Amino acid sequence: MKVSVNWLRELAPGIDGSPEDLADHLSMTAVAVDEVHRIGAGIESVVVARVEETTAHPDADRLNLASITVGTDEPIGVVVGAPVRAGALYPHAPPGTTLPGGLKIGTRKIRGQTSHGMLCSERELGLGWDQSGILELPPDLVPGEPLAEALGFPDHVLELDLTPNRADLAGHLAVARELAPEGEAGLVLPSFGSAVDAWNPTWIDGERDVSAAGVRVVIEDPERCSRFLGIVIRGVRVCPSPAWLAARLWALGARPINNVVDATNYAMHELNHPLHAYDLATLRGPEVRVRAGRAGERLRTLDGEEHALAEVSSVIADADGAIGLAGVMGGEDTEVSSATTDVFLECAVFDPLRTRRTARQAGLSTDASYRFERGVDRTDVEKAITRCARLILATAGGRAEEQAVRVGPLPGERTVLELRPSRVRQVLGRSFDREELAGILAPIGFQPANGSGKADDPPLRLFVPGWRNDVTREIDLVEEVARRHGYNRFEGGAFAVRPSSVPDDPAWERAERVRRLFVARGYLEARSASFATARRAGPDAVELRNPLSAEEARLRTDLMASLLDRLEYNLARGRRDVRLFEIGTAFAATGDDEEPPALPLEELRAAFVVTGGREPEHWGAEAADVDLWDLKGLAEELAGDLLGAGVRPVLPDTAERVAEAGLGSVARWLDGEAFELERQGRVVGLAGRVKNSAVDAPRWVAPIWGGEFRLAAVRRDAEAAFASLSPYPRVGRDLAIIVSEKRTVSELEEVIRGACPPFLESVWLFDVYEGEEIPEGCRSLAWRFRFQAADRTLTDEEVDAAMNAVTFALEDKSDARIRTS
Amino acid sequence: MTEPIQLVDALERIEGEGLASIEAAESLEALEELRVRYLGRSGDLAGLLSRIGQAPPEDRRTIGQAANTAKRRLQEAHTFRQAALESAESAGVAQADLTMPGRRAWEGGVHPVTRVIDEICEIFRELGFSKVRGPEAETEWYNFQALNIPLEHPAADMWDTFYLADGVVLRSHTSPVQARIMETHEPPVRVVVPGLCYRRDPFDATHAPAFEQIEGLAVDEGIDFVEFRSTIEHFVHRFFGRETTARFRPAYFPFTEPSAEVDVSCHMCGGSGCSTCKGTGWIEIMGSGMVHPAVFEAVGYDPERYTGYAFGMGSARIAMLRYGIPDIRLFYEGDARFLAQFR
Ligand SMILES: [Zn+2]
Repeated sequence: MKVSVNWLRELAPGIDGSPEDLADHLSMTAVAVDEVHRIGAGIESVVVARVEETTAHPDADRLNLASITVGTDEPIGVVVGAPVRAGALYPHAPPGTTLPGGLKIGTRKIRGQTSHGMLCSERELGLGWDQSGILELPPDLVPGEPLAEALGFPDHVLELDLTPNRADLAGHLAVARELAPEGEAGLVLPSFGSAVDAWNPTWIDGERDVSAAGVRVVIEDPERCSRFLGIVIRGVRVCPSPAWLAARLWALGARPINNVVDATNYAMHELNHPLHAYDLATLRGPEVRVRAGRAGERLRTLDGEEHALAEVSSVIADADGAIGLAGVMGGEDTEVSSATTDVFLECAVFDPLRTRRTARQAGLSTDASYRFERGVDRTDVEKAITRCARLILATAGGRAEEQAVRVGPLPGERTVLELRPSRVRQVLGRSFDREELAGILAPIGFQPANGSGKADDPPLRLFVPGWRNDVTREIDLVEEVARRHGYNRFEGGAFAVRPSSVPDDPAWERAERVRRLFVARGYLEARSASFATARRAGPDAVELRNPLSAEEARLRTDLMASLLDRLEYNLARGRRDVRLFEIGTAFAATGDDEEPPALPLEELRAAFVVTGGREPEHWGAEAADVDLWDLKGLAEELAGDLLGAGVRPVLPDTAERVAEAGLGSVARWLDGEAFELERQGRVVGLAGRVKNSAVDAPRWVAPIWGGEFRLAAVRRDAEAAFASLSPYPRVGRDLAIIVSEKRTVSELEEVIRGACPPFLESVWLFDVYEGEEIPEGCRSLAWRFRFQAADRTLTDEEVDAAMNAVTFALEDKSDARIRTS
Repeated sequence: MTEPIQLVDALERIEGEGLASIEAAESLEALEELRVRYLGRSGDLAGLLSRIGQAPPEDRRTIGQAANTAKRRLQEAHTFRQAALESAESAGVAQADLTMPGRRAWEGGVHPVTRVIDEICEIFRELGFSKVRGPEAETEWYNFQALNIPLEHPAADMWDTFYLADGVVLRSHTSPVQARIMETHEPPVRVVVPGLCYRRDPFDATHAPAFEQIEGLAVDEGIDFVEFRSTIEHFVHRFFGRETTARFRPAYFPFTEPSAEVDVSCHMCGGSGCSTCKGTGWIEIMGSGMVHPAVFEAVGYDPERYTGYAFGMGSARIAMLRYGIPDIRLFYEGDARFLAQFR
């Protein structure tokens, strides 16, 4: 929202300080100012020129020659690229001027004709965006006058970043109130001339249906419109606005249209009330009613767009049909034009929600809808419409009908709120006495009301000004006190350490453990938005109602979906070694048609992908890629260190268990060389080789491995346990056997462990051999044993007996044969 | 008799020469030649020992011992040198070039946003805040109404929200967790809530449709605006440094009142204005304020008894500031060249 500093100073002459100071003051006490623009800078040498006559350019179809004067009789010849009218005024940039856009003006020959400077468009002067034609200036300017001076420029415009609660600041008067040192008391409305300033209508009131001044106004649906005021002005002369009025609008980036329409815009920017002027002659009835839109009804709005109306829309209709979108935009058929002589002026209070729906339905957002959606002041509609009518009388002449229409209930008693000094102290941490509080609040319109509260903590009773409909309870007043006092003056006080009844969510500690493990193993942490493409999302994917794009229309059902995208990104950039992990949320639809709909299932997971060299390439060793046993080793570490789980190959019959664990969508990325991480009979994760078809990869890619597991299965730090260290010596033995290939290592180790006494400290497979000396269908496996007792030194006999037991068990249960060599 | 003395001298000479040349041997081949020459069956030492019989019997023992010592020393020197040459050879060079790169492992890295989240949470942990979380898919109620945000109101437009179903959204801020925590816990409450939020902003240099935020909430008896301000100021000093100042500006959030936007002085220009701070000297880092009584009412806390403050900041945005990262998309592309910069 733009406000003009010149305008603010006119409304509150006490406002002091540079535009930047004012911007800073507003930012620190009321509303953020995003930018300060200078208007009318760089056009100091541009003067007002009158076109005396125009002729066609002899050698160019689209060009004209204009003879202009700038206050003297001496004609100046310029070549113009757009039509101009003899007798009208235009801005002339004489040779030597540099315009705000950087354009240097000189005396130039254009197709053989000399142009002494040029006539400018709105855009060339930095007054707006229109560059379609030469800017026709208000007729009350005098040829030869410097244009900027005549328009009251330079001006500065503050770009306010209005918050939804302070829509009142969309009007200059409210901003001036915030800035004026005396506040409310320092405000003056500029006079439009003593004759019109004295004019006041006589209101003809009614709840729903009022006729006066030859117009009937009906509010069919009070929910849509609570007040509707109308004034008839006859015999106006519609023409361009005077320069001062046009300059106000130019400064705000609005285009002057004609004196009647400009008057409504001026009043809106001043008092924050949208107004609308109808050409009375076009109103059938003449009658104006506020009602719901009807299916099948159509309306062409002022911007030339045609809208199909709906019941949700609030419309203004005359006796025959819709003529405007209530609170949003008027219709083309009833707009004020140069042919208009009688005007019906409207100022109403349209319901915020209904206006919002009307605007949305039409796909429009206008200055009017912006204000109505946020709520306008119900109490001063009379003031706004009267002021607008006076301005029309001042600029367009005519005569206002003395009787004016006023429909809807009158504003009731003003709202009174109580403010307890003790509450201010409780919330803000600083004491303000009653006088201080009143002194802070009165200048911005919160005037004291009569009455008193309880004796021991008498609250202040304050009227809420009509423009502050965001202030509805005591805390709102506390905020007013805080911001007007200045947030940064609430100094002192130490930051406190206080207790919390809320325990930490263990997920964060789990995530940290996972992160430590992967980082230590050379993985980089990735983070992804949780969206997945159709190709990556699983069958149970939750779909977005209003996605930004088809690429982001579903939520990921597993994290590998995201990591495979990240992997492709790196492969596409020629990177062969990629090691990534991510901790994040996977989503799945519940599949239930509950009412109200249940939240989708969501679960924190960790996932990884890895491809390329086992180590960074080094001159001293042959490069080897990450292979199945690296993957299995990682899976074992994850299972053992993090999950307290086991690792086992994914068997054909585990699909169901995997699906039950919600990891079905992970399984679809992996081929047969995969493992499940299993804890207490439940699958908690999967790891394995990624299918070729899952990744769009270049030919040189190494095998890709990946996995994913549930974060909730990760053990917490506190679950680590201490086992005492034995002070007695450790005894080592090796054992090699020849055994059928059909015997898996895990089943043999089960036999070994079953046969060993408790003092077996560890046993691991250290050699596998197939080939010469080994019978067909068999292999040689060798284990290394470590024995250690917690309470004594083991004797050779004890250890020999243990090894004999192992040997016996292997021979007996696994048909193994001891290998001696 | 001069013979024994000559033998001992010869021994010492052979030992000295032998040790020097063995230590200087440049290759295994050269070393083998030296072994044959000094220690071989017909080598110098053997030749000398063959002459021991010529010495007087009373001296033979001394000479024999000296010869054995010389032989042992030469053998040790040979073994040592051989090992050195072999290891150098196996490493591919005759002699180690110590400027060559060592053998490395892959290096992992913690995502820059994670680092910032951890650092922020740690600062608040010291002040007694615990670290919690909440669902990313949320009911409309928790995302809006429980936070005093009316639907179909311009205030709700502050969050352009993804919908999953009627009444179900992807949370557009972490603030819903405020309500969830207060519903299930009695004061005193002090929590920080890191997590992803979702808004209908297409990816560009400063926007992402999903981005990390950290929410903070403190509720107790006797928490006031002064304490809120000094706590946030403490955070700013800890995170951005003592020389950084914070300022509080009026703002509007339906679930806090008074509401404040917090700016910190620009670390790039020190406040004189630059492109990072768009010439203002200040950088906005969080929305915050005193918890609105309506939020307390919605969760069943007595707003006359309890007060508190809440704040929310974009961790990704703060990570951009901290590391000077110009484009938020870098966080989510997963480019290893980017991620590897944060070890
Ligand atoms: Zn700066």
